[in-house]
Amino acid sequence: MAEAAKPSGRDGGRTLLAVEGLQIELERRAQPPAPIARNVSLRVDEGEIVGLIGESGSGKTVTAKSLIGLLPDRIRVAAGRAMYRGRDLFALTPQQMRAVRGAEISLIPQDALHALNPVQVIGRQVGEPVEVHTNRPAADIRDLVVRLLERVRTPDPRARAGDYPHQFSGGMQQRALTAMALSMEPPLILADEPTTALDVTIQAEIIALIRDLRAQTGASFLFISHDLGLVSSLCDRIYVMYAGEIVESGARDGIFGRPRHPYTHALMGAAPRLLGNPERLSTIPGRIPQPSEEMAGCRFRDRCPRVESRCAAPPALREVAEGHAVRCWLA
Amino acid sequence: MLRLVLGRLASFVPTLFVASVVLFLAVNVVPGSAARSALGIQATPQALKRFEHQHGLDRPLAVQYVEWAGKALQGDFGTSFQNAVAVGPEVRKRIPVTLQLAGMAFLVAIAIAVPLGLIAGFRHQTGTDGVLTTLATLFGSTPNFWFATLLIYFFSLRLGWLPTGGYTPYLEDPVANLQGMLLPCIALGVVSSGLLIRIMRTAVIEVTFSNFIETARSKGVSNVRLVTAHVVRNALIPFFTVSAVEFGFLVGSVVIIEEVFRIPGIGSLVLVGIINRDYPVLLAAAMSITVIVLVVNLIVDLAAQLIDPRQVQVAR
Repeated sequence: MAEAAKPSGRDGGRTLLAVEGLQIELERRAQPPAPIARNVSLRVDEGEIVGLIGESGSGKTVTAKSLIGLLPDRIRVAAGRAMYRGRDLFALTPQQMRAVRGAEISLIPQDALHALNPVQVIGRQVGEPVEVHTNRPAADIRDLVVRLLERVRTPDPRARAGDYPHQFSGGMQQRALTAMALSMEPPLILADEPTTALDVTIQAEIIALIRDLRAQTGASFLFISHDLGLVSSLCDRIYVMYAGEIVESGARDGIFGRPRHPYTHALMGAAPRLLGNPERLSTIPGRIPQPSEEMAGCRFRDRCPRVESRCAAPPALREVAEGHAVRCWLA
Repeated sequence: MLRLVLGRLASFVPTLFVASVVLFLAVNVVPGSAARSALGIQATPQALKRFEHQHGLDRPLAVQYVEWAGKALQGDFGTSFQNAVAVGPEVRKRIPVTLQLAGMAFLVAIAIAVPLGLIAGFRHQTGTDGVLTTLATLFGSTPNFWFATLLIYFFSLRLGWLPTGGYTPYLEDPVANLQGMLLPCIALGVVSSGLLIRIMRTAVIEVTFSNFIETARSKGVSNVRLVTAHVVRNALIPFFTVSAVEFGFLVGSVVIIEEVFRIPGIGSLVLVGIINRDYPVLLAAAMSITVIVLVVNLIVDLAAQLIDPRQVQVAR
């Protein structure tokens, strides 16, 4: 892949996941499909926390969910490969994919309250991946659940495992979901804005938890967020996504120390200085183009403060420094 | 939970009041004379007048209502215009019959609707869903008396498996009782299941779009487990709440079905009351149907809340 960005991994770890040329499309009635992710390539090394950032609608969640085959109706992977431990995730049969989900690659969903089954006790839900993927006896799983809840710092885990989700606070629910994602000790965990619905102190707890878990288990994380503050404190490497494309990628220090893409710049300008959590980054004028909108040239052109005539031609993602790639003519 | 039950029981009082007023008015607004029905077409005007005076029918409606309601509250529903039999005991004798018929028919409807609605909802927008939804429409739009006749024709007349009608009390002969109840319950249940299938389907579709279903999928849960462990219980909560309304319609259909199968329940009493303009009979029978519907609604609501831990928590 000509566009594949290959920044060097943290500690030179082995590659765990390599997505190449991923094209995700929305099928439409009587119209050609609209691309949601365009030629996305990204890599996650073993033990790495990789950030995928962008506004709502940039395609970051869909990109992550495509990896475990959880795309909504009418959205499908049209091209590309996702090599995970020698297998292409997009080529798996439904049965093979089911064996991957939760065991090899797990998901920490956003919106903790709605991500939990309201009529099932927490413990049962946390232990479900183990129940599904192994033949371990129920008593074993119950003990494991208590240890998992303890590990994510749930007070009185043995008793709280019997609680229903509505008896948990938002932070506790998110921690339970994290415990759930860890239950099979998967090598790769997709964290889809796991702190968006939480207030700031609890956000910080979850972030500390993820960092600890990486240190303890060596698991890799693909951390999806629109919150630059979180990403800058947590991630080793970062991919910035805009309108379905990776527009900048590199090590944390490179991206935050010297952002090259005007969109990354704008995101940083739009990020609040102190606390807070903007769902909409209002200081970038205009709005993100819809997947259905065909644009010649750079897709950020309409909103870019530094737009030039050559932006009418589509820029390629090219390496501007060691491990730092940018999709911009000006970089 | 207890407070909830008490609250609901208290709400029965205004409901029953309104229902009784509406019924009383409806009964009296219907054209036709009770006196003429009771005495026959040859009755003299004087005889008619005397009959109306005897039964207080010549007094203002409000007065009649207050007198009727006052006695009804003490358990006295008066006597039949036709044969001077006390109405109260007659109704009490028939309530269990109708309750058994309506209750079992409702169970038949639920037993059909839950699995079919589950499949249709889980496979929605597929061929399976299309077939099941069409089936539901067909069930719901079939006149139950016509369907009942069809059942009698095949299972009673052609095959001779089941009686064409009649009623045996359960305590007398359970087998004969159930044999007699089977066809009327199927006739009522299948027709009622039409709407219930759609309710279950909608509930299932709503649940399958919930985030927690995606969470379950992300854990590698199989489709069967997804349905049994995550979809069913969540879908049953709205299903039960809405299906309680359908029970009201089902009891309405009991009137005709009891007549078709010659079952001596409340429904056939209502019919007799209407045909004979026998106001005491009609009022007592209709009011007891109201009570049955209210009580079953309460039971179904409680069932819906029992499977929802959030509600149990609140009501505890």
